[in-house]
Amino acid sequence: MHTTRNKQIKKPLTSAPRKRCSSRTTGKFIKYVLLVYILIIMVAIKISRTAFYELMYQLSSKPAERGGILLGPTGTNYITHFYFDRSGVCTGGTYSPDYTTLNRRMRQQWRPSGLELKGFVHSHAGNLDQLTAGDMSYIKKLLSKNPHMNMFIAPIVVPNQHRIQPYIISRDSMNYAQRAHFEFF
Amino acid sequence: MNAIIPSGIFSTKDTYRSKNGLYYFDFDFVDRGKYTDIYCTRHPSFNGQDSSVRKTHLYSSGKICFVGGKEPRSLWEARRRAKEWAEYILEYIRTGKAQS
Repeated sequence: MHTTRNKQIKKPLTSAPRKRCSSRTTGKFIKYVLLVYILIIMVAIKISRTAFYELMYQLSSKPAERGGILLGPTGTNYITHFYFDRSGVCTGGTYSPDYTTLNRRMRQQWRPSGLELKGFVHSHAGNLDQLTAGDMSYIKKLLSKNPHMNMFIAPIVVPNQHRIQPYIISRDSMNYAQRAHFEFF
Repeated sequence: MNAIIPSGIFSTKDTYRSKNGLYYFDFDFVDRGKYTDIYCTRHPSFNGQDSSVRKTHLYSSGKICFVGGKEPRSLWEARRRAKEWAEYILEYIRTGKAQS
């Protein structure tokens, strides 16, 4: 019996030479893929230019471990206002928000104006642009006290480098801070 | 909705658990510009061993002593050095042998 199952198709011994990619082209391609990947992965945070300039002006010009509150219109994910927490207690390694003043302002000023808490921004010493374990435990506390918030925005300003790295902490995964980027309006 | 801001601290403090998993250390890092100071705010008891700075490299303020010019230059380095110090202290507590 003849069966075709075991028949092997012989490839020609010689084939057309492949065109080699130069390392420069490959490098460009990898960069492009990485950029697309980062843009897909990173969540965008919409922030007004005035709020952004204000927070960078206040935090990047001062020693590390200062902070402030991010506010935006109720029911949206936009950040439109930044309030620098002048009376917060700051040491070289910690920033404790002046929660009494912030809560009073929230009650008397921001809530009647249709603004709500979106997150906190604070600065870190050195080149540390990540949220620390201490930061995450306070953010968890903030989320647990505010059950209406689905996510918490927590950018880190690095005054040494005049740089900011935004993060989003989702209620669904409170142990994980997702890197994000700002979109201005 | 009524947002509430509870009391709390944004902190760069680190808690380190020793390699053997038995002891915890708390460290606070303070940026001094050119270098970073490390403060140990929690460590196990010296268990009767000499607690002088010469042996423990720990000032009474909690600051870890480094030779001038050998201080950690970045927060990352400070974290690494803090872990190394923690393991050294556990060895010192266990054996009583101090490093100069």
